[in-house]
Amino acid sequence: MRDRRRFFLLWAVVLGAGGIAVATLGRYGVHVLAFGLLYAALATSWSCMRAAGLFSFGQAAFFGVGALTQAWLVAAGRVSPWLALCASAAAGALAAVPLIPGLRLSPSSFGLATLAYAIFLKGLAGNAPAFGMEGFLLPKTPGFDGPAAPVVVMLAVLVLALGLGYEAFLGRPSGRAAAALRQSPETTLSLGIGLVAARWRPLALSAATTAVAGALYAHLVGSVETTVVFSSTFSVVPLVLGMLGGALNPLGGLVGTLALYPLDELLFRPALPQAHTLAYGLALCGLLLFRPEGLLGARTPRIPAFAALRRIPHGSCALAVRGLTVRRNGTAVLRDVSFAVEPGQILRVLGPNGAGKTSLLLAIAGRLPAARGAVLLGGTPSPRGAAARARRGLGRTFQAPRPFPEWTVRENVALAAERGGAPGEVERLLQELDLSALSDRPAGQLSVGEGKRLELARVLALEPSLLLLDEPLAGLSPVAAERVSSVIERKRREGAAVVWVEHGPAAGDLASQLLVLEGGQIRFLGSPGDWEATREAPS
Amino acid sequence: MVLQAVASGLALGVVYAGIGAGFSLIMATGRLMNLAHGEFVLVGGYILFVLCHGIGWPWPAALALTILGGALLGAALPPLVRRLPRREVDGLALTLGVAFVLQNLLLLGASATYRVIPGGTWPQTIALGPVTLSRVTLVAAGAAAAVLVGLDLWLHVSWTGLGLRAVSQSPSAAAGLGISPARMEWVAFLAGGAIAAGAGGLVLLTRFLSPGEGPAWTLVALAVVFLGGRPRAGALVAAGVVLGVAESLATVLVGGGWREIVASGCVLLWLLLPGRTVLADA
Repeated sequence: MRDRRRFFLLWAVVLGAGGIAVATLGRYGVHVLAFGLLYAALATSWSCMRAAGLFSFGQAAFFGVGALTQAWLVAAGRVSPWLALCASAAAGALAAVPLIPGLRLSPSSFGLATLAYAIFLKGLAGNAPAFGMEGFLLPKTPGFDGPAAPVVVMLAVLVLALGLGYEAFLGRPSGRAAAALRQSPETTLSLGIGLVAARWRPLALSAATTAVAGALYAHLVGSVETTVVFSSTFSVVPLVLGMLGGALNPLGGLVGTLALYPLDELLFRPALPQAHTLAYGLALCGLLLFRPEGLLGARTPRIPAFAALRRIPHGSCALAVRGLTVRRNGTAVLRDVSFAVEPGQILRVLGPNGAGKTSLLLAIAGRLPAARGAVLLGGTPSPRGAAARARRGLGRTFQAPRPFPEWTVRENVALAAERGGAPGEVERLLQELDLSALSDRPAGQLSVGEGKRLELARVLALEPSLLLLDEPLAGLSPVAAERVSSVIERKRREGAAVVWVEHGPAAGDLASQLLVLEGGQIRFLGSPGDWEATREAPS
Repeated sequence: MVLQAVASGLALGVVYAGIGAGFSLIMATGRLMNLAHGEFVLVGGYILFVLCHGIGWPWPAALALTILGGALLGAALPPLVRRLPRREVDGLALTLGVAFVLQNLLLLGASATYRVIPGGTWPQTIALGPVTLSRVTLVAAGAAAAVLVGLDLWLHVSWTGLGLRAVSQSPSAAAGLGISPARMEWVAFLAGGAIAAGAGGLVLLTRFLSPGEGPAWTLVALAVVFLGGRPRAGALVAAGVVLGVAESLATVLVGGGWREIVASGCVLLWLLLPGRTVLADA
């Protein structure tokens, strides 16, 4: 309700300010309004990408593609501006395709890729005979002629559609997946949500809408020059305005534009006509130093208790590891490791620090590539990548808890239950792991012990058939450890195969098999009784 | 013609390695990719231009003051960077903001006009077998090579260099040994800024200056550091030479205007090729 009121209030301010600008400044007022809306569209487009944990320093790439496509089609091809607008949007989305491999990168590395991409496309367009450095002069077309009412209305519709689309996206499973990825990429992968799958929609949407804004800019200005439309201004301005308003809020771009653009237009441009964008550079520095979250707070999508189900069916799943060798930075951390765990069995993994226990879990989970050997799930080769293996029924906990910090304890478990198709399990798991009293607390505020219990609740809500547990009892009180052990034992009785790395004795009591690693190699593999006998035997 | 292009690229590549060296130092010890590095290079170029061309100072004296100016510019960054909660991604945005501010200030102070060092003794050429190189290009390459060797020695022989390398590997472990990470970070920014500005002076000898060229120089630095892989003089020179030769060959074989395409293409390929999965932060 509060968001809706804010939405209407903000648009009332935009329309009021626009009306005053047009009434007092005439044609120049229309120009100011048009460019304000253009910048708001660019900033909101930029924020859409930020919602998925991506950071773009090169929106000029898509802006330039849109502007050039529109100008080329309208000026050289004599195509209808309406048709050209559709083509520009498609060209913008297509221009994002080469960046898809970059969706696996961290936000900063992806940001660098976009920065390089904008400069790369600027060079390509400048050297292309069809575009060149001379650019295009657009012919006069009714409705598309300069800062006239139709173009202004189209820009307003674009800003409105972007804001509403962003809001709708946050409410959908894909929006929740994107928000999860932004908070904790590793945990998101462990829920079976792939990086590319969760991020390509925001990227494509942002690229296409930025290209449409570029196309409308071409009509606003009446001409397009390659060096101008690919310039860093169209990368930095959306970023500054988006961050200023609040990048993680659908209204952020509009608020940021309202806060800074009038100052630029009315103060800086008259005073420093050549260097008025100095205001954006100063604003960006000041913002990062004093209010990095922007004027509006983040709009994190809530996870409904009974979300629309996306059940991932998986039956029982035996694990077989055959001749597994794993290298990290050129050094073999696991050498020729082979074992099998059947459904309903617990394999406890022991070994001193550096023995390769965590590397083994990472390799089984698909986070470390095998140099040699294979990991078989249910008798067949496991798919590549952590998300794909999670979708095959593999669930894993982390040694140090990695919850989604902006969501409550219940929401953390509910998101996993949404993926696992077991919404009825949420309350049961919270109760079983003594988390009911904490269920409305943000997960980022939990202690280590509470976080460990949440780790287990989240992974069990996925309904996995193979569990990888990395020291789930470390740091827990004896009572909590007992509770966690009994939940794991229940899961084993229900038919899950469990690989359990733990230093304490509790796991040993429940284990069907022991695997002792030393220096990345198997020292012992057998029953706990045989291991005890080996240790007690005189050497 | 190809041989001539390769020779020019070799000389140019050593200057590129010098530009990458400052970036690499700040990245390793300051844990920051400075997107204003290209603007630092330009500021150096403009200071040298004003001192040499405007006031008439001799080149070596002007270069010394240019390096000092760059050091001061670099030293201004650590107090800002330390306030950032997430240095990796916010640091990039902050330095992008600094780059934008510097770009606009250069536009205000120097206008968009291209600046070159005119005439005099500079255009003289030297024939080296089948290829001919301008004396000024050789001077720039020689100066860059000297700086790189000096930097490598400083990093591997002096106590300060040892401290810089220790902090680049593990600030907490270095602090445990009594090395102040904050002080080393400050030294890295100072030295990185000085090297960038000095390189700007060398750039001015071989090319033109324009306020909008900053991002292109930042990309050159990024490409050199990514291709080099290690912050050692040899690796940086090898990467710079590969980039310089590729640019020269592209210019000769395909046409002018390909400089930015080659550098940005290298950065893109390095980031987007399979196996570069980086999930360091969110």
